[in-house]
Amino acid sequence: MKTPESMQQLEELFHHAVGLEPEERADFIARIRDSNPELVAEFESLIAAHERPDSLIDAPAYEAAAEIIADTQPALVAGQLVGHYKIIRPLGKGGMGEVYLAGDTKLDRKVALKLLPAEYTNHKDRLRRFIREAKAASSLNHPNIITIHEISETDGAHFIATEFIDGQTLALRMAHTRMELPEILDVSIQTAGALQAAHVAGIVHRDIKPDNIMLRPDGIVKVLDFGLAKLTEISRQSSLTPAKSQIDTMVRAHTRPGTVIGTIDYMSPEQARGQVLDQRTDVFSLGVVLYEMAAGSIPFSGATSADALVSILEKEPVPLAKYAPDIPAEFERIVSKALRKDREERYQTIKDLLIDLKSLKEDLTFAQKLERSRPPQSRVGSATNPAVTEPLTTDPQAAEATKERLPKKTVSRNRRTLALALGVIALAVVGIGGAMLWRRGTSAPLISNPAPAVQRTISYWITVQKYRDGKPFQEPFRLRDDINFEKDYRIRLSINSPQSGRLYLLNEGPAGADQTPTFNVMFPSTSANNNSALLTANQQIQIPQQSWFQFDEQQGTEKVWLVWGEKDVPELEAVKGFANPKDRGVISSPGLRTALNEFLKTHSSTNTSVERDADKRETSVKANGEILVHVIKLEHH
Amino acid sequence: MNESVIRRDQSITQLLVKRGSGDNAALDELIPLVYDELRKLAASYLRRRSGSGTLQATALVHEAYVRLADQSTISIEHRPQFFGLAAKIMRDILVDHARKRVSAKRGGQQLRLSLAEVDRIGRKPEVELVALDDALKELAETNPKHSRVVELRFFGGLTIDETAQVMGLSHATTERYWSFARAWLRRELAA
Repeated sequence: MKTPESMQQLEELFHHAVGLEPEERADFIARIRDSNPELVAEFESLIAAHERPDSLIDAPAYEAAAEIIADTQPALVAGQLVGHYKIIRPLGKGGMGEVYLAGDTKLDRKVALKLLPAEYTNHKDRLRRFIREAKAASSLNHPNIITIHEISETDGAHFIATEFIDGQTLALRMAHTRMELPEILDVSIQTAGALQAAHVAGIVHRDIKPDNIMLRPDGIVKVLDFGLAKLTEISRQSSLTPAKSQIDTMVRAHTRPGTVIGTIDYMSPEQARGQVLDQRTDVFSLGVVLYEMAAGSIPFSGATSADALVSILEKEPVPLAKYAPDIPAEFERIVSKALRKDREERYQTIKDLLIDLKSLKEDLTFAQKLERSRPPQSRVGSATNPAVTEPLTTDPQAAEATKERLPKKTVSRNRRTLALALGVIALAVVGIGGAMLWRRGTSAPLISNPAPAVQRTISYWITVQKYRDGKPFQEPFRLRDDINFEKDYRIRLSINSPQSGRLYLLNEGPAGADQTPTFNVMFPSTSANNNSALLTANQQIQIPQQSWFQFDEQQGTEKVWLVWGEKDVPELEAVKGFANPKDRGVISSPGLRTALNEFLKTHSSTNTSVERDADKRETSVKANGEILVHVIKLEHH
Repeated sequence: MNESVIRRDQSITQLLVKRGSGDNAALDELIPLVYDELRKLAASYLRRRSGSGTLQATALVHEAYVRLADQSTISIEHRPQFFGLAAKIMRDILVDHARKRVSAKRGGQQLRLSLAEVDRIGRKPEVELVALDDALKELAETNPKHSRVVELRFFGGLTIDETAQVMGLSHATTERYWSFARAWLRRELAA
């Protein structure tokens, strides 16, 4: 029982002990153990705590407060009025400011309301230029350019009210499933159409990226944020040489905490150099988007912003055919012409790019019509059957070109097509990827030389350390079965795989206001595997490497998502940067959380087999395809 | 500064003067007033802040201190009271904020937990802050002076000397109280 007297006694002993040299202190503690055994444990723990300045209390309260306040999302709450707009809910946080769904109380319609951060609106000249351009683009009344209702200011905060698009960004769309050529062409033609109209009016977008391209469920594409880049531009130089200092400035600007300039991934080389921009910068950025839609990854990237900039300025992208062997050669030619580093060699106008995209689409449509006019049993995977996701080359010219490039694969695909046409076509083909179709093909008797199906495999086990009174208790042990974890158990995961690949671990947290769970990145992190997801074959990894995971106070089922990819998994590469001491692994961007949630939901439904080896006390997971997603559930009370 | 803010500041000043002359009831009136001001300040900052808000939020909390401290320049004799109040009010506001966040996270039908890496990631600040507040309350039952020293040092951001002045203690005694209370709280928070 704690009393003022016992506390006083404890305090006196404490002050005496901390004044002693270490060896004297050990003697002193030993004496207390004899004279005052009921006090010694508490006394010892106090001395230990005295030597360990790692607590909340060791920094001023405002540091913790800042984190708590900064982490409070969103800034505006439902029902709050901004001008005559009533906030309904947050839609997400764009590269620049937060976006909300709001109701226009005057006109009784829904709008998207974007708050502009003060640091960008303080510069009055820039603000004026932005408003002029944004309004000019909106007034073009182009079906693919978002309509701006109002740009205004209330309470010192600037905001833009635009038409509300009930759809998803291209970024989110790409995070779901791989896009097929007809959709890629559709999106890019509409985007290029919007840009062409703007360019004719003398407006350059400067920030074309998947986050700024919205897809409506009816197939209409809307390009957002015309002119907004005017607000965020750093410095401009007319010099034609890439000045190192300029790149440094860019890197600093992009990595400085608190700046939200956005991604550099879609920047043109001239933009990266800070040169004066013209419409050809939009050609390049759209080229990056085209490449990403087809390949599933961006053409220029790097571990750091500096590396990414160097890649944009100097490196040639991996040939598209490597990621998308079925993509027509003509498409690859178009993309590579849009991505020329020297803008003199690029498409000189977006119109030229648009014409090439349109004629490719016409060729494809023609090929499809031709396909449809054939007898039904020889018809496979036409565009009229969206359930068939196997990318078939329908353009005869392109097919020819692909055949030249990859003769063996194309032949085997033709054989498989035949097999499908003869027998397997009767099978229901529902929402499955290319690998699935491939396997169905291999089971058909006509296929004599099947390629092995891609499979991922990984094993893990859990080590448990019991704790009592803040100290390790008993030896750590390897978990045999599912158990209900006690509050003071600490755990560690050990993982290995006979394959090399990319490993990501996430802890799922409670759902936020948008009904999407929060996620915490557990691996990789700045302190684990050097922030790289890459593991070599048979490399055993322990997570966390030095420490343990502990459960927090709340009871229930803890979900740990394990993602094991053959290549970089873009959805997870996008969030791994949050695993640093400042963010504590918490993914703060609602957009990224949503994309991640969709990704996990989509991939965890694919065929996964789980085997538990009771003797070895480990769990092995196998899944078909290039990505394995498995959730480890830990019951905790 | 608009008129209503000036009036409010004046009434805060008057309440502090009353409090200084021994009117304890003034404190109860004062806390909600300052609290309200801080909340408004916080709201307006949050409304304007951009993407990564940590820096702005730090500025906000600093400004909150400054606003409170500014009041104290009115009269040097009230200085200790101002500091003392600032610490109390900050504790009140921050812990209240933290408790709301903790309980908001517990809401919902399914209780899901967060795994935290013990050393690297540490516990979430709001959970820690609530734990600290609980531990401080427990400490206050047997050692009210120790608890108050922590409040002034941690929540009020006061130095040992300033704390000694507010508490009417010697530098050495304040130092001893702080050292013991800090060890005791570290241990409580680690458990």
